[in-house]
Amino acid sequence: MSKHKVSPLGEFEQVVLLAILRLDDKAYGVTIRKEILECTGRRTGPGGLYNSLDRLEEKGMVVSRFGDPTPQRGGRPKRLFTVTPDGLEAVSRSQRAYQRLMKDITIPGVLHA
Amino acid sequence: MRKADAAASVLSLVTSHDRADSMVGDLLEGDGAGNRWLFWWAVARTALSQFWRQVAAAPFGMTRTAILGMFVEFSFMLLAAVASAVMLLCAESVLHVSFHRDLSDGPFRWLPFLLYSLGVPFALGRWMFRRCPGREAVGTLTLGVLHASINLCAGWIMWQAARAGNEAHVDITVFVRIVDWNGDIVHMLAWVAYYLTLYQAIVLAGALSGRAKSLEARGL
Repeated sequence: MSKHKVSPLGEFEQVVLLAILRLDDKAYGVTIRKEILECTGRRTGPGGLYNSLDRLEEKGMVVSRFGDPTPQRGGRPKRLFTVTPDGLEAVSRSQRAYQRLMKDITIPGVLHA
Repeated sequence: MRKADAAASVLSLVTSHDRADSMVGDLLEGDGAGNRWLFWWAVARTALSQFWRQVAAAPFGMTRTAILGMFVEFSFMLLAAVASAVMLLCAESVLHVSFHRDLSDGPFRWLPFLLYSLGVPFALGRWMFRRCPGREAVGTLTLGVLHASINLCAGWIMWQAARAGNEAHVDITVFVRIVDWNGDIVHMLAWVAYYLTLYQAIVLAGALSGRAKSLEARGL
């Protein structure tokens, strides 16, 4: 984990980072949107997702690389995303903060740590 | 795959060429698979979203680019003036000697106007591509808004002066009128409309042409 200060994450940024972590090395625009829809029921517009991904890349929380072009995509490459150690630290910090907030309160239907 | 190429061109005005390409691939695979309308709807939403992000991310940087763009545009206008002078002189000589006609009779009198209203914004678009690739749309809109604001302010001052019974008129002419501010409110609104519509289209066409040339040179 890096020692320098990591900027806080917005709620949607956390969702995007967690989706990328779940997808491992298969995370690109289409699969990230699918994963978010399946896990949260949230329908994400392509523009909003690309904005978040660009912002996360500028913050150094994800890195992207271009994959090979495929015929299914009209010969256009995938932009594949990977979470960096800074991104991992930011998401774990946010999750710890949620857990602290959840401690000692009971919300029906929510599993407590 | 003409629609995909067109979509990549549109998106490349608001992001880098590589990213635009991968976005189009995503849209072909996801939202727009098999449905033309859904595809273009997704392209429009993505372009607007990227556009707005760039505006919000660097409003001052874009204003600086737009101001610089105005100076560049002015120097292109001076170049166009010189080119017009040379071409008109040649045309005048040929018409007068060969056909015994005046320049004002022929289509050549439109040459400076065409150079200023089409050639200069187009060349400015090429400059915009070199200056801020992937952000041409925001740069062009900022420049258009700057032009429109200047025309609106100057026109309003002239209009107020005319209403108060004063004579107020600014006219800069180099073959054709570059600046013409008077008390005519309709005239002013026509210029504002031009800068926010047709001018945008010509500058963006120039930017796309610059990008196409650059990609061709890179063999892409």
